[in-house]
Amino acid sequence: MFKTFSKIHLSIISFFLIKISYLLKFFKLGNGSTLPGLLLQKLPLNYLSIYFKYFDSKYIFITGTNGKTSTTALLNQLLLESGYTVLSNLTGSNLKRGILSAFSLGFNSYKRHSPNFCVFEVDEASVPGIIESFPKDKVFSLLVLNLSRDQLDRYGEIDILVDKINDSFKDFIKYNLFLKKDNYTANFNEPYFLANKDSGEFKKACVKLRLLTKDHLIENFSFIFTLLKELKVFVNYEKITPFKQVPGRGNNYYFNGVKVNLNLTKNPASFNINLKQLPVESENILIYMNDNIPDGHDVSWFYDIDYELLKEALKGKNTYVAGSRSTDFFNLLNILGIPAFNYSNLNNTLLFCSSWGFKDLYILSNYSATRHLVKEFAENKNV
Amino acid sequence: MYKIAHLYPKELNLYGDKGNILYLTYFLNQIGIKSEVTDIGLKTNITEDFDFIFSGGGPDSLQNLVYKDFLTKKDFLIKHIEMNKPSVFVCGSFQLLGKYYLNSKNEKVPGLGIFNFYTQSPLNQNKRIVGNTYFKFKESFFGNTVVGFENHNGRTYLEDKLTPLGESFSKDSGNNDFDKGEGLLYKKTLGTYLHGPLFVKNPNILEFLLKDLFIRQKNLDLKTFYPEFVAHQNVLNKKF
Repeated sequence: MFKTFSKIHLSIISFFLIKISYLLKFFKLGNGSTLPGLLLQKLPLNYLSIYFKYFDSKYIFITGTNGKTSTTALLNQLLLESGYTVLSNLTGSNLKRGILSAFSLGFNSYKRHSPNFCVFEVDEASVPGIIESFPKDKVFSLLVLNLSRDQLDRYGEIDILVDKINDSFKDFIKYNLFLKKDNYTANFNEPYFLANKDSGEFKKACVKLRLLTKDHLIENFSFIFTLLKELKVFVNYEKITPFKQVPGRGNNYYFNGVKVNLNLTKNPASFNINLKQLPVESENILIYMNDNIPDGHDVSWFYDIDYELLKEALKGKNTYVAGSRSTDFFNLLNILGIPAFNYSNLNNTLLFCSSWGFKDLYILSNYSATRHLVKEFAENKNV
Repeated sequence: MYKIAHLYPKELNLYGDKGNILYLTYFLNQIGIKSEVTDIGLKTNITEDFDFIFSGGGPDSLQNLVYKDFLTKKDFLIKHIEMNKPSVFVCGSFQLLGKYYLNSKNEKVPGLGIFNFYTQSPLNQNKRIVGNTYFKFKESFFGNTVVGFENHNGRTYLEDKLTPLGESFSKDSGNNDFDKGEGLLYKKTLGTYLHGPLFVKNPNILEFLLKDLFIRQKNLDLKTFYPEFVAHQNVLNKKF
């Protein structure tokens, strides 16, 4: 009865939301992956709960401060190439509205047969609100990749966040929590599984996926590997094609003959990782920092970056800063005695780089800055 | 040699507070004064006097731990404060200078009781006071405004005739939900909820704290601090 009623009800809703999403994309008003969910949130019913009940899939939620989008993309690829069906929010829209959008836009494809897996990237602060809507008699898996200082204005204290996630588990008979051995692990209530990256089998899988150069991706893959083992999901790693990174996570682009390597860098942990991975041969570094809504308005996290690492990594390089908070970053570099040019305006900086015949540019950019660059480079404009 | 004590750098190190120590040493160097920083952690015995004390903010879970150690340093702190030497306490460490802190789990963490104020957290975490803010400060160097970013759950209520550090632009900002006061000012001791690189954005705060040193340095070129002034102005230009 619930299924029949819901199928008609949700089909009608999907019909309208797919049209809205299409129009948004057509008129270039957005990527259409957020508004459908936002509209559903305005309605009086708890649609998230209805969708969770409707689809008899294995639910996997992926959260953490860094690596959510890449890990979700990698798990999607592994499952799809292994012949499973998957519903996911691959656009990176990871609040409740993003998951609702994924459900509503994907509903027609799966209304008769639930996908084998629903894999959702979830913003860490949204985890309790999403789990709250999950049916208590079903089982979900939650991967907490890492937790560290992020945007001060959105997350408050990590301790409080962990307490809230712990509290959200209390009414469930069974759930699968995956963590790594780290400082924050002790704050989670047992039981949980620890991501294992020591087995020979895991190392072989890494080789087959060619995950040898990006340390943090190997770390995140260990979560997937452990999860799939626990869920007894078979993946033949021999047959998986090499993982293609999500845009803005170390990919190369070209503009005016300059080879650009773009790296999302939105908090101290990701900044330190990207500094460690900065190629020795890269001569030109652009740090592009905004304080728009997706970035958070607070930039005090600049001062939590490893100062010694910053000095060492930028030694002898040409460093440029741009974006709405470029002066704040420029001040930090100035205090540390690192020579830099503050152009503020991104266009001027990039035009400067191309006009002086730079061969390469390594960019560290926060969320809205990366999104801007990915869009511009994808459209192949001279920014 | 200008001696700086950084209290509990491992425990109270949230949100870029260590940037203040970085900037303080840079600033002193710019005005020609050599300095050294001593990290004072848990169980560190203090056997010497310092010219400047700084302590940052930390999560609720570490405040209990720090409090017990803080108690052993109470006499040292009172002596420093009463000698009119500069000291700055941010968020969690500011709260510990008062009588008590009632945290978000309704647990009472006793404070050192150096000042007559108390702090309590509303049980609803969604009521945090968050955002870019500014307040008026009595000292004018690059203007009399202080800018920064606050994010705290605790509400602080000053008693007696304690003076706040400044008057916030809104009653939704600062120590609590009822008055516009931000932080605490007593002699050269500052308590504040402004996280991150407070000194970088507000050279007037350092000018106030280090006034005696400034008088000694006659050739101080204010243009040196132009980028800091720009960063200060950028925050002020944002819509509140």
